[in-house]
Amino acid sequence: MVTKLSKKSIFFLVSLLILSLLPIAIHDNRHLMHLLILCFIWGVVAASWDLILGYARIFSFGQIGFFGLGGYTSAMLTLQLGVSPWLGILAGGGVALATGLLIALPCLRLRGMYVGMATFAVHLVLPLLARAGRPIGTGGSWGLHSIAPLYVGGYTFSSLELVPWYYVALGMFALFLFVIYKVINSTIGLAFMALRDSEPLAKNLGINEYKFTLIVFAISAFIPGIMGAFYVHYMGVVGPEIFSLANFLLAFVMLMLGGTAVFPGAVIGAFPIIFLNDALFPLLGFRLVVLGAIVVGVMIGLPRGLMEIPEAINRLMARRTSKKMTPLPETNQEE
Amino acid sequence: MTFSLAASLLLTATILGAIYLLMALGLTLVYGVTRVFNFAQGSFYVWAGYIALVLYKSFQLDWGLVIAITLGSMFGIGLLYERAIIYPLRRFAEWRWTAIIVTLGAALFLDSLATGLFGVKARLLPRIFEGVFEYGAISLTHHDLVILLTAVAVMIIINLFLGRTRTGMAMRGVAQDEIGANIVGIPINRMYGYSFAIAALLAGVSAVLLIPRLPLFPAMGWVIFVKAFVVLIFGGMGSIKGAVIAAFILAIMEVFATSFLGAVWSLPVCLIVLVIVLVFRPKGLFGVW
Repeated sequence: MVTKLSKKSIFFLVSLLILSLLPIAIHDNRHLMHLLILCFIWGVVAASWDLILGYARIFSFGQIGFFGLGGYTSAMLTLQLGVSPWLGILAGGGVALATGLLIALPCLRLRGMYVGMATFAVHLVLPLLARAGRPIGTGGSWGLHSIAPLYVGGYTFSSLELVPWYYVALGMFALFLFVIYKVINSTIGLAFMALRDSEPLAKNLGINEYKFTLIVFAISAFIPGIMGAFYVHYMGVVGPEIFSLANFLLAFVMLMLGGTAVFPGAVIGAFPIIFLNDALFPLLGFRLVVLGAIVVGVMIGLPRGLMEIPEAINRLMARRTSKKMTPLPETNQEE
Repeated sequence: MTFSLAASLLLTATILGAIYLLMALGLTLVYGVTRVFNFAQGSFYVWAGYIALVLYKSFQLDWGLVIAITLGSMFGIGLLYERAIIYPLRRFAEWRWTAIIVTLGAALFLDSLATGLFGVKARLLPRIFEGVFEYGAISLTHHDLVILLTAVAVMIIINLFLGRTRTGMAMRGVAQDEIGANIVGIPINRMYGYSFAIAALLAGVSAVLLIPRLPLFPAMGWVIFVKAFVVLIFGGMGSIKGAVIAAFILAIMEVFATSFLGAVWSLPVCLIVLVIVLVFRPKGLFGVW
């Protein structure tokens, strides 16, 4: 069967091809390999966040919570019960999904920033529970270490040889981006975009708000859960810091830099941010100041992120010719 | 449980409740006037605390000056904050959506700046007034008494300001109908600025009062912020009466959870209250909005 490929899928396949050939050239540069693996992991996390925050416009700030929950679940299962890391990763996704649904239930009755605060509060509570959870094996403040690496057949991955990790990360990256792309362009994606754009109209057309909100919560919790579990096996350690605001900010700035609700945007935002974050390492604590400033600056200057740059240039050119217009105030009748 | 223990726990709860109330008032004022939910309210608290700490410890000023300079600079920071990050957003059609993201980004920015400059170590200020009242089994430090009296006074002043002064009434006008307020000539931009400035000022008052009792560290802002938020939701947005009742119920639950289950449980208890309220009565006790 011959199918016509769109511009987007050609772009996707070509970048995938380049990324999969890259280790031939750079496999000796372990630092660069490590950064690219992080790009794949965080790119997927940011893209799954975009699904709920950008496309469905539900203020879910629990994304890093799901990421960490997936990580802790897999680490605890492999350490305590000797489960295979692959099953652990799946279980991590499962626990994140279940938690996502649990959080979605009260959020069904809320809107706007109420959802944002409720999910953000969950995010703030999780590190406390991880610290207090020593009796159930979270390792308390110290976290867990010597978490089993992945293995395929008789071959066990090690932190000395990053090429296998790279390909597994790339595989997950490609798979989940494809899934997210498909979701956005499916009837599910259409349904929650319709709910975002005009809720009363969408409901009148027979779109079940509860069902689609639950679906979007489930998908956008499952994917970071899986990636978090993979991340933990890759790093070999997990601690309450996985829920830190630093991680939250990292994914947040990727999404905002890349732009919300412009599909490959969030993923594209991940690459410069991972490299910037690495380059800023000597600044220590002030690293996050820079990332926070980027969020604020991008939102004020380019509210739809990097993907908006061509449009912004046009706007600037147009402004030169016309006089600056004063904005009209907007109605105040929300909620 | 002895009577004196119960009494001292209740007293602590009253004091915490008063502080949560001041913070919640800042949130609700900004939300009412601008319909922006300001995630940086907790960061205002942290910054006010560090300004006071630096003035007291490094410059060795006395309390009166420390309080005056801290509150003055918080008012300025509030105005500047609105000018720098809320005002430029308002040229976009869907700016309220963006504003939630931007205030969260600004909060993370301010927090990490505080972490970078002052470190994560928890710090305390000495009490404003030393000394203790003793009445039978109950003892109350002078500082705690000051907290309670200030909180009550601030609530009364804010109430009078909103009800009796031209600026206060103008702010209420903007809260009711922005376009209408604009038509009758109320300077909306200035009212936006004032609402953030007063919110920052309230965070400053809370910080100066509370830091002698609860140590300050950069993540402290979130702890206070989440509790203020739960107070708002529990009491109902826009209702002062609801907020007062909610603040004290929440503080009592927190104090008892902390002393019988452990300090780790103070935030989870808040979250549980939040979820229960959201599920059974999303409008809160006396919600208006």
